[in-house]
Amino acid sequence: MSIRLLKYGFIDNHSEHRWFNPAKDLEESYDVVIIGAGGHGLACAYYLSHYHNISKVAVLEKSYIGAGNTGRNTTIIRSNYLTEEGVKFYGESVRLFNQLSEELETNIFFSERGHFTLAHSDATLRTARWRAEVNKHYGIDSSVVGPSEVKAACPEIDLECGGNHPIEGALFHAPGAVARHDAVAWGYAKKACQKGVEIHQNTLVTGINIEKNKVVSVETNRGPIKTSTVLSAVAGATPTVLNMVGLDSPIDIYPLQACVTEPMKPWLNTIIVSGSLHIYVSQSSRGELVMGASVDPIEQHNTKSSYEFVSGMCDQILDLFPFLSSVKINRQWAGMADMTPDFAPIMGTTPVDGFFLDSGWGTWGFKATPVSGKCMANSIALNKDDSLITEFNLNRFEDFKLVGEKGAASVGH
Amino acid sequence: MSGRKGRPQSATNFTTMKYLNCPLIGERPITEFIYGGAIDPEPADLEGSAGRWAYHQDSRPLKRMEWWYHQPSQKWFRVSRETKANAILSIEEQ
Repeated sequence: MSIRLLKYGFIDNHSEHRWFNPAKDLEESYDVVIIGAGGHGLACAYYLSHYHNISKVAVLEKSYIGAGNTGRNTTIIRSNYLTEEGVKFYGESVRLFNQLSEELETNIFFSERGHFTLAHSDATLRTARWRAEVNKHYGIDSSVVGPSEVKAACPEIDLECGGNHPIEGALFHAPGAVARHDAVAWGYAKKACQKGVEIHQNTLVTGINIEKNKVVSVETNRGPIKTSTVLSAVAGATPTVLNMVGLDSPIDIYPLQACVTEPMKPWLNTIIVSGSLHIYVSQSSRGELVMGASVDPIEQHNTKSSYEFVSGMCDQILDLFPFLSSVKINRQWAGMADMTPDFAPIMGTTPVDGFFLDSGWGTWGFKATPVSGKCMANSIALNKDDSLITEFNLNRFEDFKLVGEKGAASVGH
Repeated sequence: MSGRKGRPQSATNFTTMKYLNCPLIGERPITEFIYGGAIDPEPADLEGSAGRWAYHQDSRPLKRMEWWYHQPSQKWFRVSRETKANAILSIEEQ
């Protein structure tokens, strides 16, 4: 037994090691109010407090930290997008993720795996080639590989896919990675709290008051808060929050489902995605296969998961990995995804002074957590869109200036 | 909920959304239908606001009218649905 442990056993009063501030009353006013204590909201609080010296910040969360899509995504990090805006934005995100454990002094279990987007047809291979060229142009490691390279990286794969849709090649993205999603949110929360940011869980925003087109206060179920700056970093409830300030958006809410299998020995080192089969799969550090498919076919505002999702997804994944037929699905869940017409996010300033938006993350926005937090913090501090996100502004739809990112969505939606 | 007890009995009991009561041929599995989005009629004057009309919409959890298409009979229906409970409230032929 170590001496430290022995000493610990004889002390009566154990000071509790806290990651976040304990529950306390709301202050009368804050410089910035962030709605939603998910990865995005907490990242913004962190960058505001550490890089812009704005730490009178309240992060309001109607449930608990990371209760929404932060804890529901499949944790894949990549930057092999299709448009200039997308590639630059996600390239920065991957760079930030690489040093995040050190920056947050929290192990986020960042694990670089390599990411294969399988092509089962000539058309998909053409898109892969296009994406590879765009990526290379902006310095992102991405290339088209043949079936033999896929097989070498993942010997268990059935290249013929049961004879239904043989693999013709793949887009390989070496920096593709996975990380522990909760740890990212907790790490940002911990560091933000150290600078005096307050996280208020179980606090529901019920209204936002505006005078002369300027935010003046926020109504919550625990009383009003005076503030001149509000950031909406929610998913699923973005239209509701926008309605509070008299705005609307092109966002549709669709449930997106995912599931994990029982744990297995490590056998899948890479991340395998197939747009044609509508699946993505990776193996977590616990040994579970984390799998997901495309969004549900009907707009809904709930997080019900369905048998149809699991059966449909398993049907496809067994084409790739027939031996999984004897493996059981342990858990499944759903999250509400903010879908936009061009599959790019909606971020930055809005027509309402002091109201900022971080939304439209489509099939969850885990891979953008650090960069969105950083860009939103810059935008709030300067009251002007950060140069990385000017193309993602809410007004782009009225002007028909869409960012066509659908081709790079992980699976066809 | 009706899910555990088997098939729902009436059109108002569709919380599980496994079946949809087609006014023409009766109860059909939901998988035979394609969701066509909210009904959003074109305004008389689109001058300067075409982009807004084409893309922007109210996606709060509300009761709303939607298009649904029945593939086997190739008919469009107007459906009133509540998006939080995902319950069909009424269905009528186009």
